[in-house]
This record gives sequence, C-alpha cells and structure tokens, in this order.
Amino acid sequence: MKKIHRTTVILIVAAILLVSVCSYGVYADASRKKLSLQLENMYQRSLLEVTSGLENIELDISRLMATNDDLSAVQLLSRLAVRANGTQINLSQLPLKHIAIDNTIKFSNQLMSYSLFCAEKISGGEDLPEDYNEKLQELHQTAVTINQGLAEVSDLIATGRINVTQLNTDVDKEAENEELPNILGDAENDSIKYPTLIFDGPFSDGQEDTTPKTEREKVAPSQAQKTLEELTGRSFDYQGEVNGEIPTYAFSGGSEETPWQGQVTVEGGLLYWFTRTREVTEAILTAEEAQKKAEAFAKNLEYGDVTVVWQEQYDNMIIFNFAPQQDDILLYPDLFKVKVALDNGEIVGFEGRSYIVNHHERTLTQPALSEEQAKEKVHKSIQLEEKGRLAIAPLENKEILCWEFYGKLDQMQYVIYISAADGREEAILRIISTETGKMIM
Amino acid sequence: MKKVMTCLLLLCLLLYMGSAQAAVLRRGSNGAEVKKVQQKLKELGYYNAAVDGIFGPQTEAAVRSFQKAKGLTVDGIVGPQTMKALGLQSSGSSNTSNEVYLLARAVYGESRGEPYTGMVAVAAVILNRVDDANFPNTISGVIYQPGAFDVVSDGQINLSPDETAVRAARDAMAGWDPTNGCLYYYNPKTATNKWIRSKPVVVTIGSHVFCL
Repeated sequence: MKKIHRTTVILIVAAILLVSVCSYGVYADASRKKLSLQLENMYQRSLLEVTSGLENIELDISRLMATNDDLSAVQLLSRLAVRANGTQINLSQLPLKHIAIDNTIKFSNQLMSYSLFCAEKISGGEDLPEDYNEKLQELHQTAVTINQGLAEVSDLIATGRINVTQLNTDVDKEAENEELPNILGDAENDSIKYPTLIFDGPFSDGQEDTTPKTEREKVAPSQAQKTLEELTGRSFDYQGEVNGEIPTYAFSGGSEETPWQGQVTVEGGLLYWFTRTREVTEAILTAEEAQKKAEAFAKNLEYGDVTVVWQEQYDNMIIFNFAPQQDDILLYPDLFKVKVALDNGEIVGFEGRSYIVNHHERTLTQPALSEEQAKEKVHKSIQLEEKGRLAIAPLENKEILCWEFYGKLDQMQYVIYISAADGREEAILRIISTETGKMIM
Repeated sequence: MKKVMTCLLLLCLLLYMGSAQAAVLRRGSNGAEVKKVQQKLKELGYYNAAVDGIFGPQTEAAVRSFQKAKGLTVDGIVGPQTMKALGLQSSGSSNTSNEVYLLARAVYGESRGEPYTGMVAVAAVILNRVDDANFPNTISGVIYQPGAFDVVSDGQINLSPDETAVRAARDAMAGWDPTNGCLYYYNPKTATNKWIRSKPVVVTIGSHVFCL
C-alpha cells in the first residue's frame, strides 16, 4: 500500500478547515442579514405609524375645531388620545437620539393627556377650559407644522427609500453633535411652536407638582442637621446642597458597611428622605410591634394626628404608609412612609416628598352627602363593609373630599371613593395581594 | 495547533451557552428550595410527610392538591406560577412583579458595585422619566428606548439581578428618590457626550453624576 505523504494529510485537513470556516462565515452572514432585515422592517413600521399617526392627528384636531356636537367631540377626543399615545410609543421605539425626538414625544404625551381631560369634562357635563378653542387652534397649527416638516421625509419613507438602520449608523459616526441630521426632517425644528397646556392632568405645563403648597421659611444647614440627628438619634456630616426639584441639604453618616444618607428641605427644614443601608437577615418582630415603632417615630415628626393606611413588606422590612388627618378626614395626598427593620425595630428609612409638597391647611367643606347617601351610589353588586370614612381621595393632581368604602365583589377587594359633594364616583381602586403584601391600584 | 483548536472549541461552546433557566422543581429535584416548598405545603396543610428536601411522590401529590385548590395547572411541577401561589421567593425567577424585576435588571446592569443609594438613584431616574412628558410613559418604554441605557444596548439587561438590586428597585417604586427628580445621569470619567455634560449637576452619588 502506498504510504500517504504527511504533507498531503496536512493539506487535506487544512482544506477541510477552510471549507468549514467559510461555510460558517456564509451561514453567519446570512443569519445576520436576515436579522438585520427583520429589525429594519420593525423600524419601518414604527416610522410609518408615526407619520400616519401625526397626519391623522392633524385631521382629528381639525374635525374637533369644526364639531358642534358633544358626543362627536368626546368620540374625537378619545380617538385623538389613542392616536397620540400610539405615536409616542412608536416614536420611542425608533433608534433616534433622544434630543431629536423629545419635543415630539412631549407633544404626543400632552395631546393624549389633554384630550382625555377634555373628554372627561364634556362627558361629566362640566365646562371645558376657557381657552379650549384657542388651544385647539394652537395644537392644530403645531400638528400642521410638524407634518410639513415631515413631508419630505414622509415620501421617502412611504416609498421605502429610507433605511433607518443605515441612517442611524451614519448619524452615530458623526462626532457627538447637538445639531443632528434628523430622520424626522424638520419636525423637531426649534421654530415649531408648541402650545402651553395647563390643565389638571399628567404632563400638564402647569405649576410643577414640586412647588410645596405651604410656604415655609428657609433654614440653615445646621438647623436641618439638628432635625435629622434628633429624629434618627444618629450623627451626620453635612454634604452640601442638592438643587433638584425640591432644594435640600444632604447629609451622610454611619460606617462604610452600613451607611446612612439623608436629605432635609431647605425651606422649612423638613425631613425629606433618609435611608440606612443594611441587610436585615431575619424577621423577629411582628407587624404589630413594628407598627408601634413606626408610630413612635411618626409622632416625633409632629405632623399632627397621623395614622397608618397601608403597608408593604420585603426583605425583612416593613414600609408603613402614614396619612395625616384633619378633623378625622384622611389626607391621602400628604402621605409619608416609615421603614422598620424587623430584626431589631430600627427605623431604617423615611420618605416624605408627598407630605412636603401637598400638605397645607385645608378648609374642608361639610360633606353634602351623608355616608348612607354616598353608599347608595356604589354599584349594587359590591358588598360594602359596615363603616366608611371621609378622606381626600388618593388621586393625582386633584383634591376631592370623598367617602371611602371598602367592599368585595367576586373574591376581589375594592376601595371606592364617592365624592362627598355630588356623589360622583371619583375612583375605584383594587387591593391585590402580592409577595410584598397588599397593594392598592 | 492543538492549543488553538481547543481554544476555538471552548469559544464556540461559550458562545452557545444560553442564559440560565428559571428554577423549576419536579419529581427528582432536591435541595433547599424543595425543603422550602415542603415546609410551606406542610404549613398550609397539603403535605404531611418529612421535610427532607427530596421531591418524591408524596411531595408531588401535595403539589397537585395545592394546584387543584388554587386553580393552577395541575402538573405536580413547581414552576414560577406555583412558587408565586405558595408565596415563596424562587431564586433567579421572575417571582416579583414584571415591572419591578425589569427595573431591578436595569439597576443591576447600570449600577452594581455602586453604593446602595446610587442604585436606588438609578431606579428613581427611570421612574422620573416615566412621569415626564418628554419620555415614554411606561417602565419598559423608558428602559428600552433605543440608545437610552448602555445595559440595554450591550445586553447586560439580561443578567439576573441580585437581591440588592431588587430591593433598590422596590425602594424606588415606593417613592425613595435620592436624586430629587433627576432625569439624567452619567459617569464623568467615561461619558463623552458633550450635551449631557453641559447639564447642571444636582447630586453626585458614587461614580454617577445626576442631572435634571
């Protein structure tokens, strides 16, 4: 038998390796192209949803300007809200630099929120804001301008002559430049005027919900430090001012393994937030015992009559939610939270932003409805608990005095708020059990 | 030559390793997790045998009775749903609400190794963006906005968060905000974006600087 030459063997092995590597390369490249195409298809879809969404938004606003019928208006406003939300969602799925699309996202969000707000007003038989017609015109003008800016690009998109992935890669290759060539064309041009929308709803341009409703005197850092140290029984070092939405003084203390951090407001020297970082490895205290600790701490805050309304438990700690009371009426907007460690009852956390922003002396009108009358307004299939109570309902951006009722329907637990002024159902919340306790949503 | 080949092979193996599966317990499983399940079933009255950490026929029967009573799929297997119904933490699974878990993943990817307050701060920034008109309105919308977070772009978002990250996410969802409302943060040692660096700094926590 002829002996096979060594070189031949090596050559054959090399050839096989080469072929396998090449085939793998071809396969990998084909895979990549397929994925790349799928991704680009998704981007194309989002882009088309955005451009057609904005076109339809302009049309719907123009219809709103022309309608003379309440039902029509509500339908149009509802549809407008849906379109605006869809536009925002699709816009934020595109691989565009945030500053290139943030104005358009804001426009979509505000439009959605404002439309829902107006639809609610009309359905509830209430008056629309005085400047409603004026705002509609401004919104329409903005939509028209945005669409004009998109016009050039829209065409290219519709005929499939834009490659989003390619465009984005090109953009990335440019230096970090604030002046970005933009897929949206001139839609984010600085010259576009956006109306200022002020209303009771999310994303309103109105007074930021961070200006406290009670005016308070500024305090010096030393005063703030004293407050923090007295409340926590620990010593802290001053770290400086934090000029966020609510100006505060920041402090830290403790050791590196178990540090303390806290902030106290500049105005009023109120405890804003503190946290003690440590692992709590076991739960020795019961919830009742922990609550007593929390209540003792809350008493020292001198926020008046306060009571625990909800609680959450995780990692061997319980967060107690407290609401102050005025004349026996629960003030949910003024919520603050105290966190208790279940191994030794130490207060390891506090959070008081809502209290700081919302608490103020309220003139609470006498309820026009009695508890019995309010109960009548609840859906008949709900089995209500015996007693209800008065509370400023936990609603965003509005304060409404309500009768609060706990009830059950089909194994589900509810908390229902009936306005004490006119019997309107202001909120329906559900109590759901999660691994951290009961949550109200 | 041989060394090169083995290295290549190892590399291929590594490339094909998928992410870890959620822990699922079934007949034949054993360990501390099984013990927890048995203990819980015992407390609830479904299991009367020894709490020995061995998932045998009696444990399976108990699981089935429990599943039947709770209206779950009766298959004798303790997966995420059954774990949740039992009220047990399943290590590494999404037993926590999806949103909290996603937030925890982002926090873990972006700020593990940072002081605890820094982790809460990152979670708070994400939640602040949800509330802000200029950003998407959901936690997943904010996190997955293309280009917004490095951990999403490089896949670190898919790592399993540790308990600290989950706790930080929960604290932020409960309202703790060490940043006082900030919407942006960056690491001054590594960030090159001129636009973000021009923003006034509100607070510095660990290696991150936070801006409104």
